[in-house]
Amino acid sequence: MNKSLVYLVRKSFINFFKKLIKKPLKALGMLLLVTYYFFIPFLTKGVITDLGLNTHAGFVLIASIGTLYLTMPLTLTYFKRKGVSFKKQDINFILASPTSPKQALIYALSKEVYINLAMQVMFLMAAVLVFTVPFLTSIIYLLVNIVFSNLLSYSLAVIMYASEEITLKQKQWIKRIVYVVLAMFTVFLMTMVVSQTLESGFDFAYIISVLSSPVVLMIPIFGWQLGWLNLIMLGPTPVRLIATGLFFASAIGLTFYAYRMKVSGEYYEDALSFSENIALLESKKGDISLTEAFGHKKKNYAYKGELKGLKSNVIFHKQFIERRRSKKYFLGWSDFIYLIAGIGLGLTSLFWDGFIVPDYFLEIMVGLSIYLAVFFRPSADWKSEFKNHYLFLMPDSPLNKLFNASLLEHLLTFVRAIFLVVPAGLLMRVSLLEILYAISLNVLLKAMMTYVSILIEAIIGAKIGHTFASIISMVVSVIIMIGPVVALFFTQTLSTFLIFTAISLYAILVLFLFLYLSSINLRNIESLEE
Amino acid sequence: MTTTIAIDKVGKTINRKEIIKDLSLTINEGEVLGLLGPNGAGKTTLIRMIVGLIDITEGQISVCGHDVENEHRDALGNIGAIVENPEMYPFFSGQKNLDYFARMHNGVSKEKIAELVDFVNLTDRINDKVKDYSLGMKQRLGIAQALMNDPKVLILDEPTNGLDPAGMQELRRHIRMLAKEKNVTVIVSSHLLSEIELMCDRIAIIKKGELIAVENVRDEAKQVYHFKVSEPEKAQVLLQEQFDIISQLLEDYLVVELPAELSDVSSLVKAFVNNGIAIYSVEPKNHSLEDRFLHLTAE
Ligand SMILES: Nc1ncnc2c1ncn2[C@@H]1O[C@H](COP(=O)(O)OP(=O)(O)OP(=O)(O)O)[C@@H](O)[C@H]1O
Ligand SMILES: [Mg+2]
Repeated sequence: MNKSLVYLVRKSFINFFKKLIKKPLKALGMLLLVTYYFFIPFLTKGVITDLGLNTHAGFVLIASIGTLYLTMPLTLTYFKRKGVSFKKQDINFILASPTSPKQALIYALSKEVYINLAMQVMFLMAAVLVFTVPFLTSIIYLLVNIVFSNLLSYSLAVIMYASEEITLKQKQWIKRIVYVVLAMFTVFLMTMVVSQTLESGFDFAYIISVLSSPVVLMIPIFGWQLGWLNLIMLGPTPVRLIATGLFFASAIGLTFYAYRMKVSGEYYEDALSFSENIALLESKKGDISLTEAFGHKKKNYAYKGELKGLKSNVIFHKQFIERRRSKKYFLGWSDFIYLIAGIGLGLTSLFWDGFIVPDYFLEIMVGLSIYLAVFFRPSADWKSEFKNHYLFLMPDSPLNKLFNASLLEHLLTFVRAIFLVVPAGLLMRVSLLEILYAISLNVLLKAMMTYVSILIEAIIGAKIGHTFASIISMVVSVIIMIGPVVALFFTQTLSTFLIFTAISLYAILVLFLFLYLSSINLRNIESLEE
Repeated sequence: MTTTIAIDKVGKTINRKEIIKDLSLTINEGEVLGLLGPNGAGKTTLIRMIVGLIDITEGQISVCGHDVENEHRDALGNIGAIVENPEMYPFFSGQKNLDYFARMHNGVSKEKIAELVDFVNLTDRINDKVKDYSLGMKQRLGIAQALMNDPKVLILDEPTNGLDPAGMQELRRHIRMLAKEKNVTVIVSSHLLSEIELMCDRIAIIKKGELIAVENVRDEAKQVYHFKVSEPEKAQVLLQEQFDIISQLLEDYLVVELPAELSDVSSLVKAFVNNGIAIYSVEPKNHSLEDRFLHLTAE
């Protein structure tokens, strides 16, 4: 590695701790978070034991799902060149030093190492304490897994980003193929599990058997990785041995290829064009993705909408135009997922008797809304508006500014709510009124949580540290949601209308309370400074 | 004369570091005040406090009679500003950016916008995307934005940043015009005296967060000329005898300080020529202020 990068890594590391000393609340927050992570195994122990999963096979199940649905998508983001990002302050430094693109890339990736390690330690504890896997077996599994899976994902990232032999077209095809394989596998898994459950009831053993079947283990790279897991946890079979062998071979082979791969001019030319664009990037808020840093422009669609609205409302119209520029059809995949989920829910209730009962439509939908509102962070678009100093100079109240800066988010929630609720409702044949109730509550609850998160995570978080704030936010969210959840339990005994009215009023009240509290704390640019 | 901006014993502390210390200053209607100081003196910090972008740790600031902190919106209604580099939306055209701010100000007529565009000389490029603008063009766009609401107070942080000489002259002319004809009060900051002295009435010199001097520019109409002549000693005597001017001989040129009532250098030239002294060059200088600035801000 090159000296300047080593220096940067060391300095950032030291500064990280220096900052913690200066901000004791931040340090406390980090500590709480780490403790929380390490308690996950203990917290889940009861549930896992109750489900009868506290075995080697149970570990295989959890680890397989983790690999397929956490690690794999993460690696896929490298393919999209989006998963790698630099801190803004690093950018100038890296580009000014004689750093090769490969090194810069590895530096950017290396920042995830800590989190990765923490995850692995958690897995280790879980394996030993919850799944009763012997310590030695666990540690061998994890050490080998850490080495080879990191080699694999890093070399894949380097190849996918920086290879000049593979053309951009080919990379796109690779990406598509990987997605198709993952999608096909998911469908395969689902149909197998569903049909088996319909035939003879639900059984985890069946899912495990599917996940360890040769078909899965032979999926290139990700399946091979599972081969090693199966081999060490469940004992050797020819297929597991072959998969493991392929796992090791691919990791070593790809690393070697990535190491030898020639990366010449293209990158540096990009870097040059970047320095011309530096003013543009300076105006961008937050971290900068590798793609942006090295000059590959984000694709934009021509959209010639006119600005509308007066006073702060024009912020909403501006955001609308910006979204039209960045998303071809205004909506993206993350929105259509809701449509798929809605249809899925409806179909499940149609074909799978007794699993989802239309009588409980409102409870299911609102429960889902609560889950989505609490666990899915609102977009930070409002924040970039407030990072523009001019916004503070505009003659309107902070409340109007904040509301309009987050209005597009509410509109998107509305669209997603329709996607989710309407197909599910129609397929379950519930009344139109119930569909309307469900949509309204979804939007209101999400909007309410948006402002809770803005106040606690962004505004208070700027002062006390974001890690600590996110814990507080979780606690507050849970407290706030107690009301709606309790109300839901009375849907069957009291009238639906009454419950709808009660939850709506409550949500509106809390929404405006937090909107107001947020806005009075957004006085000036110091409000969001750390 | 009415006071438009009153800065009263203002202090600013960030992270226990005192950035502005006990600073008091009043600026009158129609006055152009230059805020002069080396890098890191606290100009931007002071300006940010005046426009309410950051908290005021100590003291008060009022703009047009409204306290900046307690009556923020009333005070803001009178202010137009560029603070550091103007932040525009790079993928919008200049026109769309202005349209955006116009709507923010509850609507500004199309004619008014066109007038401003013409005024900052961007008519040819106004439909180009801002990301393709040069620094100076962005600065001009920022000025147009700042003038959008017909402000009584115009605050420009380093407005000459990135402007070419022609643009600078234009800006200068413009600011004088706004102050004279529309009675706008202007604050301009810079770390270069030469860039702002010609447009300012007064110059406040800031160093390490403290106001160390306020200089009147206009009163000081004493003009200094450097004469390069064939017989400097003879010229010196002539100046004293005929005009009662004590001049200094520096190296090979004469430093002549012209009193305010004698603003015309041509009479001197004529006298020299009549006495057979050849003139190689005459250069107007205004070093007195610059020397003082350097002296005041020196470590
Ligand atoms: N948010 C902040 N946190 C810490 N220090 C700050 C902050 N803002 C300004 N300072 C410090 O305050 C001092 C004055 O900064 P300021 O930007 O006001 O200077 P300036 O006179 O505008 O300089 P320049 O001519 O370079 O623009 C500097 O020493 C700067 O480091
Ligand atoms: Mg400054």
